[in-house]
Amino acid sequence: MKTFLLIAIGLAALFPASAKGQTAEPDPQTPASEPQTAAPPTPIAPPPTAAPETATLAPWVDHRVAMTRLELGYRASFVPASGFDPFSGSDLLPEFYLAATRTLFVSDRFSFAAGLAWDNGGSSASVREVDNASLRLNRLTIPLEGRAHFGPWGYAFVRVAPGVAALETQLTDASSPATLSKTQWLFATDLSAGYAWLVFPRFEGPRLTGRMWLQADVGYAIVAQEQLTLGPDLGSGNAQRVSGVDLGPLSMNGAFFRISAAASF
Amino acid sequence: MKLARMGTAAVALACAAGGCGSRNGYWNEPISATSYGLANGVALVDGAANRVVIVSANPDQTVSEQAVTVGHNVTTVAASADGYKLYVMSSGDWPPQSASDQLPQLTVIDVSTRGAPTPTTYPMQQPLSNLVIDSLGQWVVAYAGSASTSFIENPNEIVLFNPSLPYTPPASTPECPDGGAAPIADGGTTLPNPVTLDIQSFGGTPQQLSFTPPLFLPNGTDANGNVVGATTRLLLIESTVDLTMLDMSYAFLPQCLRHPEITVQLTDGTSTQREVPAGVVVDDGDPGDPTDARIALWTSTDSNVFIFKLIPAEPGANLNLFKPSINSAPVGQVPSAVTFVHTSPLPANDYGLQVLALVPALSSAVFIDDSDETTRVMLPAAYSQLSLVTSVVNAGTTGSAGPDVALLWQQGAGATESGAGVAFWGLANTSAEGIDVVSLTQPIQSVLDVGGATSQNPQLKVLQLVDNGVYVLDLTARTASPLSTSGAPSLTVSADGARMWAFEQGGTNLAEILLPGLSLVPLTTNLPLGSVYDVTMASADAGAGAASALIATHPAGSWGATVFSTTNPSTATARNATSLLLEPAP
Repeated sequence: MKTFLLIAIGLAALFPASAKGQTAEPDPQTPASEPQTAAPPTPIAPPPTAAPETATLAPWVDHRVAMTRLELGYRASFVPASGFDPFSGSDLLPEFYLAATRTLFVSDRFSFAAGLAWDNGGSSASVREVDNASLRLNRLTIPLEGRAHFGPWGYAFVRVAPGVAALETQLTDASSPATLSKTQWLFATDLSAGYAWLVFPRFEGPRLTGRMWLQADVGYAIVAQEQLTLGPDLGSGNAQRVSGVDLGPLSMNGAFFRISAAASF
Repeated sequence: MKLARMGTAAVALACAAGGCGSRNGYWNEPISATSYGLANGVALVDGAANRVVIVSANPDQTVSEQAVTVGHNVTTVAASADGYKLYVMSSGDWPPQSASDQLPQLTVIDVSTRGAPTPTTYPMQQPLSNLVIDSLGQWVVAYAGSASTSFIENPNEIVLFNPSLPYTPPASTPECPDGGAAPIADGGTTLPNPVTLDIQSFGGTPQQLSFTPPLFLPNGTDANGNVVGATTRLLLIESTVDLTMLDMSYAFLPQCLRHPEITVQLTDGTSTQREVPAGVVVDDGDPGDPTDARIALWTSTDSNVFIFKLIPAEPGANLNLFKPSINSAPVGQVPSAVTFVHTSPLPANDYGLQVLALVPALSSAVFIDDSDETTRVMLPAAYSQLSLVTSVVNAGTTGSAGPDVALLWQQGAGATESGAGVAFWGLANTSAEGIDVVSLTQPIQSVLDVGGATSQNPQLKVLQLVDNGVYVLDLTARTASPLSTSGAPSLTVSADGARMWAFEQGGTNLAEILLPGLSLVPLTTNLPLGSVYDVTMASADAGAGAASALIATHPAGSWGATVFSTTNPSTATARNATSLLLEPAP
């Protein structure tokens, strides 16, 4: 977890947001947080050749748009594949979700952000009343997110998150001298769309302060199919010859929804 | 509130996209399996999952598995004598509540092609719980017996199957529009299979059914009035009051051509006595004489042996051309074993064919000759079991095989230490003169033949004693070699008779015993043993000499197995197969 946070912070530092085309329209309800400076008047004689000095505006940044976000939430994946049946009494795979994103590009009301996300979930079930099967899935993806902002109301987004998934399966069976297991890294991608609602503070966009968000998205997860040929975890010095079990193919593809809270700054 | 609505919408969308289906019920079914040995594999009957998993061994001691779907609620399972067919009878979803409920059925799984089990399903009209397999593989018969599976049923209904032909439903049109010529002309392939017959009853219910070997029976007369014969087989149905015979040559024919069954009452009709059938034996007599086939029947409640001679009957339309002539011979007490024996060198004295009955309560044997006269012979012990070993003992002799040699022994609860041992009895004379006793330390609990028809050691028999001691009896040398055991071993003999396996059920010790030398190879397994099966690694057409392996089953968890080489078995080179019943759901 610590490593992940360090990666997220590093990513944020690596990609500072640029605010191209951001118009300096202060929020009507909020005065500019910093007074603009102007040259003092010269009543005696203005220099004849010098052009009139104009006020130089510092770049105005709406930090509800250009921001670094940390997201923490719950993801429910629905895995209809029959290969998932040994590991769950239903088609539901609950997952913990953690992500860090950084706005990389802003254009008018639209922005683009990227980051790093980690989904971790597992499921276990009794198998035929004699065995126990468990599954754990770790997805490590790079969310690439397009956002459409609505001021204090937050933003809508679409997200493509390519990455990898580590699928760990285990079967504890009394007919085997050791636990049967298999771990495999697989290509994975999430496609989703959702909305992020700004909870607090909703205004004072230019103010660089922490903000709280609630968001939800729905989508479809794609994970490469895997043949569940589980083998025994025999010790290195164990000379037993043990064949495993083939539980058939498993595809973790399926729809999901995710709800999360986020902090931005 | 907004978030809740969004969540609900998300769940609905996700369910629509991904399907919130439930788990396949297979994964929730408990495992309660049983194993059956086949010639080239082991069948694990996984009744809760409605399937049979055929496990076969490979040369590298891995296993291959093939799952075959069978009917719901398996009631009876049996393997054919040659081990290449498995019969699985199920009661289905009985009584049916909807059109989709499954009817009772018999599933015949043919494993003669290794790795490709072929199931054939035969639907039935009502569930039955007993199954009898023809030892020659021609037919199968199902009957209700004493175990009732329905609220009300007809116990005299039997269902006959021809497992060599596919299921053929009964014709919806009348069976005999042309006198039955059409179904016979096409070789019987359009005859219904199975057929359901209602056996006539005089108040009894079928208790035991058996198929006879081929018999040369009367089949009318020639132009000179001489009786001619035809070879056929009979289904014998023993009930509590009678014996019924059904000519199998006509059993599948349309009603207009089918020969009716013949029922002979065992009692004279003046009493309400009920008999409990104990056994039936059949002898064809002179293979060229159609008039001397006979059947002997004994019960566990009567001191008579019933003998049926199959003699010519008056010809009539669709009637049997033979009929039984019944006689009963008193043997003093309830006999425990009965067989036909030849007491004279062939072919004198009508081949010397007599019925021999053991009467342990009187420590005697009774010969019943062709005229139903009895001769009692006192025996040195109350022997209760017998087996003819003539072909082994007289192997290599020239000329005729007779007279017979019988092996006698005590077995079961009534066995006494004084009768411990086996007796070789030469039946040249109907006297005790030819008895030769081989003593053992304890009475016998069971006797195993060594191998089948192609056995390399047919002269051996394995005797398991009541104290779990084991002897290997050599019939030709008339010696009994002991094997010491510390537990209660279960024994399995390979089909080729080259070796025997001893194991302790629930334990992890196992041993290969090479025959006839009794060299031992001790082995162990990691998990408790259920059963062991010496199987070939080939299809049926490979014949004798195919490579074999030992599959030891472990009924723990979802069942495992350990595969040993039979040529060089070793714990170090054995391989475990796990989770045999956890293949992907069917």
